[in-house]
Amino acid sequence: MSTEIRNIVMDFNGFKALNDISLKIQDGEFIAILGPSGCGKTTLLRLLAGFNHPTAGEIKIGDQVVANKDYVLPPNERFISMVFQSYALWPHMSVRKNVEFPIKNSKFVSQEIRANCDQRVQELIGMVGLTGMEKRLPAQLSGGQRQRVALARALAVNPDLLLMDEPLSNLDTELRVEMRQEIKALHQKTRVTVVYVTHDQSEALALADRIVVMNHGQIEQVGTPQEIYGHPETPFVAKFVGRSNLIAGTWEGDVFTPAGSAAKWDGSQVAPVFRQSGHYPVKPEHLKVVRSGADGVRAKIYEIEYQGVEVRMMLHGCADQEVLEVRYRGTETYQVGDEVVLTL
Amino acid sequence: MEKHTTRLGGRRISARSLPLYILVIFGLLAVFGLFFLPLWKLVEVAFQEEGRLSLGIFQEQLTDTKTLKVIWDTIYINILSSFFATVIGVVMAYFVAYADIRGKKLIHYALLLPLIIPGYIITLAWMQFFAKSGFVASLVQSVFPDAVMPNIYSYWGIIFVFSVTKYPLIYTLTLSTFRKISTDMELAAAISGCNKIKTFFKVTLPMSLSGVANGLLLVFISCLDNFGTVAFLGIPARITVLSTDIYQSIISFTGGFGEAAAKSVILGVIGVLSSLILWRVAKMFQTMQTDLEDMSPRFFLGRKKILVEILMWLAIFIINFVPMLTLIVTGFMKGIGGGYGLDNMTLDNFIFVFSNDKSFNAIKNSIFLAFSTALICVVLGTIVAYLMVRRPSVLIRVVESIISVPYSIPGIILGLALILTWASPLPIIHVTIYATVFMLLVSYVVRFTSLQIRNSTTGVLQTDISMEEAAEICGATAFKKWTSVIIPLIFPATVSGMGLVFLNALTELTTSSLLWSAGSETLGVVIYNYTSAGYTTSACALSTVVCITILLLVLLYKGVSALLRRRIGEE
Repeated sequence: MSTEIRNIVMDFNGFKALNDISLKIQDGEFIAILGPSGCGKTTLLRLLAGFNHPTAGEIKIGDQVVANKDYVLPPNERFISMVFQSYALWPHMSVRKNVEFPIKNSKFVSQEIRANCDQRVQELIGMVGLTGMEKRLPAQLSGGQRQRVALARALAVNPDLLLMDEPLSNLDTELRVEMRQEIKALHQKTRVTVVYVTHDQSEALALADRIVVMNHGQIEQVGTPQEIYGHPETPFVAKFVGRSNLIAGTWEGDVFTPAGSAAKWDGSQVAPVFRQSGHYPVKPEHLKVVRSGADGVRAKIYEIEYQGVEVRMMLHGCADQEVLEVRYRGTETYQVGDEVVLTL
Repeated sequence: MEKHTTRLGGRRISARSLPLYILVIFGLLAVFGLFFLPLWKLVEVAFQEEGRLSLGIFQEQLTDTKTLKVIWDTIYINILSSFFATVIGVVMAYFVAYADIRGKKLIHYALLLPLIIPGYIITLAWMQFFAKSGFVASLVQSVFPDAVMPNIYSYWGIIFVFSVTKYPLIYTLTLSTFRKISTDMELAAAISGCNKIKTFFKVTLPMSLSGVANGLLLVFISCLDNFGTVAFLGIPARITVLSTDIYQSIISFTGGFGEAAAKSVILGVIGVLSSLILWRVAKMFQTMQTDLEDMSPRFFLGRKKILVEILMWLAIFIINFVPMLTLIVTGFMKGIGGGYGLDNMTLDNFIFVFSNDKSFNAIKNSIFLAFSTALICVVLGTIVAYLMVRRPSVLIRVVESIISVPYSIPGIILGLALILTWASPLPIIHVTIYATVFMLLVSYVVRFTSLQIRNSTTGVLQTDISMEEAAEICGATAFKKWTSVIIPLIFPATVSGMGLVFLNALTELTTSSLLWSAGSETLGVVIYNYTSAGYTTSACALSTVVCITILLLVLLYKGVSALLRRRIGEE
């Protein structure tokens, strides 16, 4: 069942948290909404859930309007579920009771699931690897285990739409990668439609079929992980996803010449917005560093950080003092203060 | 998989339903009429003479040397009592918070006893302790035949009883402030060359002054509010403070309540002024503290430990147990002055307490009142607390403020305000509840709802909103959300509020002393009447019954909440 968001505006006392958002989510799709804190991604998720109502615009789940400016269908009237950032497990209910709750209460759950509630709960608890812990209370579980219970509860009724609000942000790094794999596997198994809010680009890139990058209450770009990472369409996306440097210079057709040099860089893949502003987006790991002899962007190193597999360098461009970042994997040793040339 | 597609329901945002509006307006009117109107009437009466706005009564009162002496005595007694209560409270808090003494939990609970036992019962107990021919006097005189017990019916008697009944207010606040001061601060002082005493005066005390000032405020206000102690000890000695003065003007009714109302306004103004001053002081001393209480001991007494422990237990024993023991012993005596042999001991007083109409009525009434007050307050208080936290608005803040006033003013003022409002029949339905037990119910609900709001608010604040949202997302209806998620989660804090309301209502004296009538006696009123009529042994027997009931209830509550906590799996 597809979900459609049409021209949504969300105004909190004059602050536009969402400004004219439109998005269509296909059945079975995994959509990640990616953006810095305060960009409106959580607000959008809460509108989908029915916790808030929009100032303008319309949300449709299937062919039913669930919210517009003067009507809102409450959460319990929508066939959705959600994994909360804090997990929101009820501390007075056991693992089993938590998972069983939506099956007993949702009015949309299928007859088949409701009739075989115990079996369904057992299956879900098994699916997230918690068999044997049914009687435990949330306080007796580790962070990762709580996360799994929250997942099982959200999947219990086989909803039309599963919302996830930064579900991995409370876990430590190692567990986060592990849970990421599990969420991906669960999605492939259940094919439930997912809207996944995160500020972590690696989560979005690893999990999503499509990524929606948001900033200041607006959608910057929608695309597959490859499109978003490889071909950013706005300066914000270029910087936020992949920390691209925006090198200033001049364009002649598909050829770019950095300011203060005679180098010619191929720019056939670069989006029009950069051509218009006279910039060339390039990721830190794609810039090569040489002492001299090549033509490119001349820059001076002001900070060097050794990080094992690579060296992170921060430089000032000699032409315009622009801050540049490079991830250098070569063998040569550089010092703060060295002047170098950056090439593609 | 086949999914249901029929979806009905939904909610219009712009047009709220008419019944809801009517309900809200009715609720607001009820709150306004119950909680605000009486105080408004009182102020109106105070500022009126012959039907016109006037400051006449105030002029008369504030130039009358008798009234001025009453005001001066009130302030004088309260300041000295607050000072001594502070000394006891801070010293006890310091040792319980920081020293490595054993049995801290037990010491802590023993120190809190005056919080749960009504002040007038403790006063009655001290009256037995200091009685001229009492149990303690005869013990002392068996060693020193010429010894005379100090007279408790005096300024110093009142100040002494206030100090030993009010110190827990300072103790609890200072204890948590002491524990919240980061250990590093004190270690930093030690590293910089301070010894223990210097560290206390240069770091610990300055950092805890805001807690002490808040405690001081509570003690001062609580002494202003007090009626039992000053009535028991002050009236026989002709020492009058504002609360007893107002009481006497009301019961010696001479044609109007103007004088009592004006004195009530004066008492209220003193309360507000002292609150403002101490509140400013507390703000001035506000310092950064960790939020967490550090429970581990911070200094080690070594060989002196046993000495400190003995001293503390001795103090607790003398302050909190010996007077209660003399109370109990007096409850078993055939007659005062008949000696302390077994031949002067009897169960008759207890039999009397349960067979006498007045005291049996009082037991019945107080239990009924305590239960119904607790039930009404828990519903009302929890609704207001929930709306305050989850749907904050100017309207609900105003409602909460109106409800909190009757709890923060002295009970005697509330009593008079309620008389002025309820003495005549209610409009439209022409029913008078004045002089019935329902008058007392109204007064308790008006007085204690605020207490319940505070506790319920804690409960709602401790419950993250995502708990409720998760229930909604999982398909729960509003009813199901309340029964299976909200109520179980706010239960512990709500029930502890309910327990407090119950205890307070069970033993209330101040407003009851004005609003009771034949047939609607309460425990406090009967103990007060027995005492002032000289039936000391009966008063002591009834007090003993009340104390034992309270202790059993507290133990029951502690047991149940420990069980509940274990169920939720908290530490």
